[in-house]
Amino acid sequence: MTRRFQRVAGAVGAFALFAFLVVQAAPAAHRGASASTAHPCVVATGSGDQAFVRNFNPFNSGSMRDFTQGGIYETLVVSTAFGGGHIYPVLAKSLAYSENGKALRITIQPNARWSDGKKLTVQDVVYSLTAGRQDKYMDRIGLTADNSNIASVKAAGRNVVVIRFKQVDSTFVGSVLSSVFIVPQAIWSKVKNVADFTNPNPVGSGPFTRITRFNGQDYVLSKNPNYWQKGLPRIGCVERIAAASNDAALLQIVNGEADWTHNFVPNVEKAYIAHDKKNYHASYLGVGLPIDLFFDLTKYPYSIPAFRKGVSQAIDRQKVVKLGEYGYAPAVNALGIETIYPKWLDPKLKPLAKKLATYNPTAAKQAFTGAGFTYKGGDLYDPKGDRVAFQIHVIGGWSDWVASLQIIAKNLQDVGIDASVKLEPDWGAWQPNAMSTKFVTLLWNFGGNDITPYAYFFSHYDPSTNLGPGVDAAATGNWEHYSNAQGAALLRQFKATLSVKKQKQIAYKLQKIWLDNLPGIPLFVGPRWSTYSTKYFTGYPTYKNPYVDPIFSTGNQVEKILLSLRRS
Amino acid sequence: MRFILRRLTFYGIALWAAITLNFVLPRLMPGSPLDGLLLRYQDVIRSNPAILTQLKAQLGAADEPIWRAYPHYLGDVFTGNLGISTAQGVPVSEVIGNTLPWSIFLVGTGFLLSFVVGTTLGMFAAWRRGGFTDNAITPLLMALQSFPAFFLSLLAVYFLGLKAGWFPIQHAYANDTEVGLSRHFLADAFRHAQLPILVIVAISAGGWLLGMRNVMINTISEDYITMAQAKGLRDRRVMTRYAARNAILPPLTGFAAFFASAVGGLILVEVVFSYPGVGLTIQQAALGHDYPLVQALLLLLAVTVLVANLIMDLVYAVLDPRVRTAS
Repeated sequence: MTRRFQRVAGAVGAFALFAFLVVQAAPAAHRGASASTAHPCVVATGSGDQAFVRNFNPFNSGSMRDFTQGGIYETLVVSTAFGGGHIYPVLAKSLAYSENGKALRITIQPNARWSDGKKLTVQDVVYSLTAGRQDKYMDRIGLTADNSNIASVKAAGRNVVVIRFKQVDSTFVGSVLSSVFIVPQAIWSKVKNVADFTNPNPVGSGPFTRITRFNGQDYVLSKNPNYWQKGLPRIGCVERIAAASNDAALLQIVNGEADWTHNFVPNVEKAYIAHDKKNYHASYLGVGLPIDLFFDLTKYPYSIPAFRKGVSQAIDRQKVVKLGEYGYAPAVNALGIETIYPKWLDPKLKPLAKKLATYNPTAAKQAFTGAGFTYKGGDLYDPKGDRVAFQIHVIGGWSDWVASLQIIAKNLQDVGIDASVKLEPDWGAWQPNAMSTKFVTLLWNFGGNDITPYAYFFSHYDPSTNLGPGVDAAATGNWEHYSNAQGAALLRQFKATLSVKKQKQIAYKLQKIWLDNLPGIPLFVGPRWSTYSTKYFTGYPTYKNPYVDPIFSTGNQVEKILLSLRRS
Repeated sequence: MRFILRRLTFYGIALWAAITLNFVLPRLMPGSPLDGLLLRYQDVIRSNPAILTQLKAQLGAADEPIWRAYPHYLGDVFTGNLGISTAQGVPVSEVIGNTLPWSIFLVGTGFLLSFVVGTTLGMFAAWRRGGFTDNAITPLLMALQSFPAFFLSLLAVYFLGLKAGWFPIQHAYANDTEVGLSRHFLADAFRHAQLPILVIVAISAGGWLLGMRNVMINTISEDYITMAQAKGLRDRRVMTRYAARNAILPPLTGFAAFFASAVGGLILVEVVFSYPGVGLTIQQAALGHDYPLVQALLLLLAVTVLVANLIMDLVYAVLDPRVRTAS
């Protein structure tokens, strides 16, 4: 018994040691081989990846694999706010409004095919648009909503689909149609519960539909041999490898294993670019919606517009972006949208937007006292006589936001506000109270896929987005629990006209309302981080040519990138 | 037999407590399970914000009163129905099926190896007290043991992996390796496991060494050792059969407790090495508000520790006859 026990233990130990040594010696050849492999695919990496699960359901962007949207499945159009705003036709060959804008005629690409070789028909398109009737989970056009604006979706001939609206909807193509992925009716009409369907063997119309490798830490999508656009894609495959963290991903991009990521890399020049100055690039687009300081506007004294204006003028944005944001994120004016919607700005409002965002503690104090606030020995008291004091909460690990907020808190102390930064340990501790603005916090803005500022203003003015104080506003982006009747009426007019000229006039008024009320305090652009290596492939969106959003995991814009990539 | 029955009863109660705690904990966490669930519905919500209220009512089934939710939960646990991972969109059991084997492989090998290495070295250190093993290796392993697991992992990745290039720095196998029972795959998986295992051994062998050494020093002064030597038995035989066999019992009891604490450190080792096991998954799931997955994995860890304890009890009963008869 003893003897046996000892022998077993000895054997196990010997085997383990043996395995250790043998394996240590053996695959040295393999190591050399992998370094010199041809690098056949564009390799993208992420952050915070769990072991990959085979899920290619384009309706479930919360858990589908990257490139399901845009790689396997396509939309009729791709819309982007980047590069000045574009709507690129994809499966739609052309779009035309008729019947005074109440009907949208979509002519589809006649030669589009599914990856199984079958023809992509007009019925497939009608099915995908109306799939909400089969399962609400597939509804992307608000078809099943109580007050749906869709009157009908019908095929008209072999290649034309007509969508009729109850009222004209000028935002439909840019913000709704661009999010409808076209799927084969023959397959999806048989799916019982779309939310739980993982679609392990996808049939799509996109450029990369063949899953030629799939394991827990790596998968490869290879070229669709039946792809309908001649000569595209120009590369054979796109590969996604797993990275548990930003640090893990950084190792992968530095040693050249991965080409493409969209993680934030602090001090990117030294940490990444310096390793291969010729091929390694970082495109930190200074274009995007702003990050704002948000208060709950149902609370006193945050409800006073002059208070918000005073706070805005008390903040030294230049210092914040230089020291807090490493200089990557440009400061914005009080409108916040000048980088992403430059064509839509009212030139007459520019001086005011600039003034309200210019560091001027004296003007800030005047704004406070003008609204009935008082100073006692340098401390600010609201008109009701209470000391103005708040903590701004942020996740301790978000070092750029922490640094920015420390500057902001100091700025606010200088104008008599008892402001301080409170660090939260993690997302779980921060998110519920932040996204309901139970405490003051920095947050993002919504509406980045729209080619007009409609969605941005909608998320702050329309009463339907105002879920009320204390409610998590993650679904609408109206963090401040604000609505504006006049703004909402203007937005309805905006939606109801197809005339860009009229839309611009309305947009000017929407901007005036923003500057009068300042529901959020725009500080700096929420930059779109991306690092890419041109060692093997080129064609990525660059700082100079941001033709779409460089972040590959958000929706269908990535298809434009996948189709423009080529061997360098 | 009565001993085993008594232990089994105890473990039954402990299991129930673990399951109940697992039911209660997520309900005490900040935030709501709804946040994770809504993630799956974000596209629909964007096109039709009104659906939110509808969804909440629908998902509100999860908000049923505790007295009804608890029996539900117990039933689900025992039928293996652990829900659907909100971040991955597949049943939790599938996620566990994909990740658990990697952890078992990594931890199993790491623990076995550190046990063998630690106790063997501890035996030698005690037998030749003040010799080379005792003077050089004991302090070295003790020093390594005092490093936090993630820190030692980072050091290992940086110096042994990145700078020296001796080991792969992340993942469980090379990306272009086909997963399967091929020789190439197994060799590759072993290669990728080396550095994490080395870290686990470096961290946990010290505990074994010290435990073994200290007990063994006492054992050596026992009369039966002198007796054995007086009989003229070979030195090695006295060391292994007489001293070591008796000395190994107390450290072995510590195994289970040791195991429990090491599982915590393991999570961080897996995170540093991007190793696709349970530790990495639990970290990502917690960050992603994937409540069903977090809950299932915590339960899994609790059950693992309980089972480890149970096995140790049984092994102890086999090794030490006094335990069997004591009751």
